Amino acid sequence: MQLPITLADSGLSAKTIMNTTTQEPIAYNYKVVRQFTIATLIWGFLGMSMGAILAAQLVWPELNLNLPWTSFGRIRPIHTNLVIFAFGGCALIATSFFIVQRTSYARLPSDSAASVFFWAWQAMLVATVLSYALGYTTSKEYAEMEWPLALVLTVLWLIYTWLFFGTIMRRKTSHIYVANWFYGAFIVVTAMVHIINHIAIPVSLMKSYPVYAGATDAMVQWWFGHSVVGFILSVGFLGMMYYFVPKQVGRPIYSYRLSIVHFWAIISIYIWAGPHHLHYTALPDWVQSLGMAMSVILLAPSWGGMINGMMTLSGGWHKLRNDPILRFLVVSLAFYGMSTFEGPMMAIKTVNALSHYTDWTIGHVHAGALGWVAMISFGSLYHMIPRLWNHKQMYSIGLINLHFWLATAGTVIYIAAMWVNGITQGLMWRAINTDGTLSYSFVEALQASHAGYIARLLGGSLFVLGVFIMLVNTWLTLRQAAPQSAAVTQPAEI
Amino acid sequence: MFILMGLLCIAACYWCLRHISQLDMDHAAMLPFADDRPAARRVEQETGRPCLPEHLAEQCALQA
Repeated sequence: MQLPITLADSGLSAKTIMNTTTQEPIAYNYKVVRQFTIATLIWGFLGMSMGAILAAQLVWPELNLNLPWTSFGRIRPIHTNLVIFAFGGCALIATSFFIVQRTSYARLPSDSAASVFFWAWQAMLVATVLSYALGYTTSKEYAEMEWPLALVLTVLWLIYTWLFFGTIMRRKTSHIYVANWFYGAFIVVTAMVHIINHIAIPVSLMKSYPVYAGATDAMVQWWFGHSVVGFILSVGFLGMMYYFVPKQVGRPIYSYRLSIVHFWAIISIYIWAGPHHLHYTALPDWVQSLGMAMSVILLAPSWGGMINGMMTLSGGWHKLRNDPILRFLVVSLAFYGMSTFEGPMMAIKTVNALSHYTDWTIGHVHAGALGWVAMISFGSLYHMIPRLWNHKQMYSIGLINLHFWLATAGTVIYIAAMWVNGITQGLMWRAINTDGTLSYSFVEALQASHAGYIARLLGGSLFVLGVFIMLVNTWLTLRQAAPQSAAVTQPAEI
Repeated sequence: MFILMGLLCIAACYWCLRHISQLDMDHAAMLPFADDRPAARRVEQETGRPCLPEHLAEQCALQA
């Protein structure tokens, strides 16, 4: 029997109690969330298709077409930037706006700023793609954009920062939910590393040179590069995990205490791991060793978060039988655990001596990118889309299930092919004859990799097909004529 | 500077854990369901943990 105690009776205000189911409808700004959700899907399909084209070019080099703007060297940064900053960026922005409003019971501080931010972000992405196709690049990986675009990105990021933290400032709860901590760290650190790595002296409208030189430039670049991996592709998406996994499974996070420890541990360690990209280079040896040690330590918080997510399913594992959205979320956590074990191992210098510059690195990156980043995004978007458009569920659960299996099979085929290729290449490159000469030429190692490149194309194509099916399923969901009453799924929305 | 930032993070973690009770953490963990009454009700039924405002108030009052 329930005791008839109310908030007023207990003498506690809504702010005193951290969590209260809100009684009054809150008009969230869902328009910008919807816009970024659609953009995520479109950019994801384009970016991953570019990846499939690149995979095909490595199988059949004639597909470079002997044109400068269709060459591997120009399409590759288009692919990486589209999947990281366009697909990943839009997914993070959409989910962060969704989560921060819903867990703060507050609307974004400005609708017009949100709208300007969306359209300017898309324009910046289009300009970035065009500039790479035309050959304008700083040549720094994941930081290829030249100074005018880097400046635009900085300004837009400041608007995003204000929209996100402005919502937190307006919150009606005393506690800031842990997912928002992760999003907040992602936003702050991304701004910091982007600005520091892009400090450059412009010599013309589309050309600049970094203020750093030599090994210092390399160190700053990979401090930025690994922070992109750490704070965009890990910390940001962990924010997604901390909201959507509990929400989809219908249980609170396994240990809130562990989530707090996870947060502080991961943000304090990730920033140190960059030097493992520069093993056996001109970087001072102690910096390489420090990077290696911090990368190995990173395993602990990474697995802490993974276990926290997995254990949230305690008592709810049976839901995996008929919930493909939950399967996406759980399998993404499995891939996160796997790639965050593989990463620290590859950062060990002796292992890195075999793996570096081989396809093993590409396999590792895609275990994280396809298995973790993309899959957690798909699961989150499948959860979010019906709620954003007031539908009970996606148009077809069967298509979600098909997408899940295509994505899983594609990822496994892709990374297995790259593991085999990577170890083959590493062993062939280091093999020497008794007289000290190399046993194999580079071309022989390349020929040995050809079967793996075909398998990678197959795996990548399956993954892209899955995204296409998601686009179709979303289109069919949005076309459904009779949305259910808004009151059923959420208090209010605009 | 980075060493200082690392120490600050450890201190911040200690401070966060020191100033949040188990009850507060239990309530905070329910925030994803808090603006969705049907979801909150389902979570209460499945986990036995309070999520709806009247049940939270009841728990807080009993604790007090």
